[in-house]
Amino acid sequence: MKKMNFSRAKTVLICTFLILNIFLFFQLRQNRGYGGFASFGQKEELTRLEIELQNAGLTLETDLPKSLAPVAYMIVEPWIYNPQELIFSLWSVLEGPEEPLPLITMFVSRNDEKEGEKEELSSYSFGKHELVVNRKGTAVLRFAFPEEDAKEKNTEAFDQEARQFIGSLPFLKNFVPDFTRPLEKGTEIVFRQEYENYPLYAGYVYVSVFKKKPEIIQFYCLDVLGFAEQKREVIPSSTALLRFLENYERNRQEKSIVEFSLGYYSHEYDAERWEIPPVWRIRLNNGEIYFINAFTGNPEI
Amino acid sequence: MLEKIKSGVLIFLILLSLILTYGLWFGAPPLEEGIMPRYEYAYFTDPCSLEEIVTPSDIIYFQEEKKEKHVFRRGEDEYIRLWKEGASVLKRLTEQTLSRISDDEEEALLETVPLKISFIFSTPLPIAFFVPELVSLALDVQRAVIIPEEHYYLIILEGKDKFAGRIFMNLDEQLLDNILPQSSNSHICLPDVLTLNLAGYFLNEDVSPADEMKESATAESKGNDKASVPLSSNNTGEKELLYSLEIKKKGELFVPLEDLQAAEIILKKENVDREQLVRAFFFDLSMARRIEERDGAVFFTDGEKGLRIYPEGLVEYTAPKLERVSTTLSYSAALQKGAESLGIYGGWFPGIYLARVEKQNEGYQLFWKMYYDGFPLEGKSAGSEMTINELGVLFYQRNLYQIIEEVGDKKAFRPYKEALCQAAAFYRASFPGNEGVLLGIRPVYYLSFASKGTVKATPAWSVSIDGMDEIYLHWQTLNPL
Repeated sequence: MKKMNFSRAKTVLICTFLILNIFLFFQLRQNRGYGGFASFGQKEELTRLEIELQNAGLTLETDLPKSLAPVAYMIVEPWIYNPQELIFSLWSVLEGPEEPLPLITMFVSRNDEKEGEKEELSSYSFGKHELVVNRKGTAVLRFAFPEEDAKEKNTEAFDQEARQFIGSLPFLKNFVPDFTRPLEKGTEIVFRQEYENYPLYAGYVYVSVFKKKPEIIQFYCLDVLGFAEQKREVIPSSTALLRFLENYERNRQEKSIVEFSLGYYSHEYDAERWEIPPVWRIRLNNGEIYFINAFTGNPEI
Repeated sequence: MLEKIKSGVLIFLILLSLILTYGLWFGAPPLEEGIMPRYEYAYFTDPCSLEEIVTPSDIIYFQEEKKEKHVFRRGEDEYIRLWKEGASVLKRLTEQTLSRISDDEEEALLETVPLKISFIFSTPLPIAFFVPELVSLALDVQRAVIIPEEHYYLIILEGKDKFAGRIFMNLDEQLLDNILPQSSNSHICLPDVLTLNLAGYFLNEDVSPADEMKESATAESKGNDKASVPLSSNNTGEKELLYSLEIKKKGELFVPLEDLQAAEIILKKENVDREQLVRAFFFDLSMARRIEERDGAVFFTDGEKGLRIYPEGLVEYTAPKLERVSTTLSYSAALQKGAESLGIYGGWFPGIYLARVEKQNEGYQLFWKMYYDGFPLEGKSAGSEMTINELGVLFYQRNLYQIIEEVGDKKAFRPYKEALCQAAAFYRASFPGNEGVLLGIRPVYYLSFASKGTVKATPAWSVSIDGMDEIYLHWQTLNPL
């Protein structure tokens, strides 16, 4: 009878358990959505994604984010501001704090037809600038920029200047640069609101640059109260992309997806308080933006 | 030493494998493979039976000998009793008892009957709701006539086709005559043309006392004769201002012969469990995000459908994604789905009846109204409306009230003739030179908001003239409400 070699047996067992643990570890990662390799089901999904992208005339120029921890609705209120204080801040930044604020003229609210609904607007003129605000809280600043300054600057310089300008406005301190997109006769530099490291796409600043000079700044800001109690899993980015492609209407032009990110988005409501869902934002190279609800997979229009 | 390290590593690996196996076994399944949770509909009220979905709009008892017509309407005790009796008779129909008849045969059958009771269905009743075996007839009944004879009932069903049949009475029915009304509610049928004297109406707003209106002996005109009923003013010396009003639905407009008695009523908004209601529409409440609007309304949406609950209690739901160019849903299926959905989305409510069904391109529109003592509750979106197709409910509105009490003693309505004069005067002022066509006149309760947020309903005459919005006239003053 041979004597059992415990040392060898241990080595065999160590190797066996090591292999088993490696397998279990990857299987677990796969289930949690961190998998670096595709299982049979995912291979089919990837193939389907490629076909759907091809059919839609789109290419994916960014990585799809991996699944994230459960999230909850974000609770927001419209940002209530005093136009006079807003104008004072704007004037200080535009013309310098030493320059005395001229007389503010307020135009009687006028109604403009927008999307078939009557919209109430209040217009304030101060110096060469004008601030127009509506009931929902959207504000548009039209300001004069010295013509001679514009001639010497390129788009990058304006981009830099816009960032400095937005950064210097205290009421827009939660805004970060997002992207730049072409307009028919110019460029638009887009900033987005942020809350606890989550992008809040519902809050925005659009700086429109025409003929090499910024002319219009449109902004909409929200007061974030926090998150709802109940957290939910978000749908994987691949599922969101498939849902987007199901609803995407192809046109002749070939386009590419340049950004795929998770944040919060909702309409501008004329409401007191509302909950905002997490969304997958899909941005195309031509500036088109689509939002897919990260809970339901439905497009957020 | 090496053996000790090996033992330690082995123990660690064994423990790690146990932990990883536990994580795999009990951990959350991958999202893509997640199982869809199963939801069950939670009904606010038990789903109603098929025979409860459609009820007659009017029950008309006709007695040939006395030339009397008695009309019973929804919400009246006698209506409820008569419909119960009538339904029990209709349920005994079989395919063998019914045979198809022509218009002439129907006329011959009805010519000599001394009395008959007609159940008028403004919303046609699929006969299969009462007798499933008659589904092959595909008959949507618009009028069911029951004629009690000595030992049996003669039944005539009118829809697209006409059928007649006899069923035997049981002993109780032979002895008790339960199918006949036990109280009276005399009505007359309006003639084809009414000539009204509008002197003193509308223009000076101080409505004159009841003008005497002489009706010709042929008030109940028969056939297509255009029997004109001259209605002249009394001897107040006022100049006559005659105006003709044509009746569109010849032989179908009934007005009470005796004084109508009613009192104002106090109502209370129905108390619906708001959370259950939201759950009924969204299943998973966490999927519905909440928007508190400036007017106090609360809006729930999941991006595809929206539910708005107004501060005064009105509920409005829309699901535009379910809209279709045309619906494939059948009429009877729409009725069933609609009734089931009403049970889920707030429930059936005492005193509500299906009042109207309209087929639209995107689906069927169903309207339920509340009735009290024979009068429908009108105004301020009172009642419930639903648009439904094969995919589900596209639109739903619910605004129902509980009746608390009557205020004060019952008083008589101003005569219908005065209401007609007042409405015709309004019409004449709005459309000078046009000849009015009367579409309908009926007594109703009109919803209004009294002080301190209480809701009140005032009796009123509802008069509908072609081309003009339905007008509601206060029962005492005849001022428009």
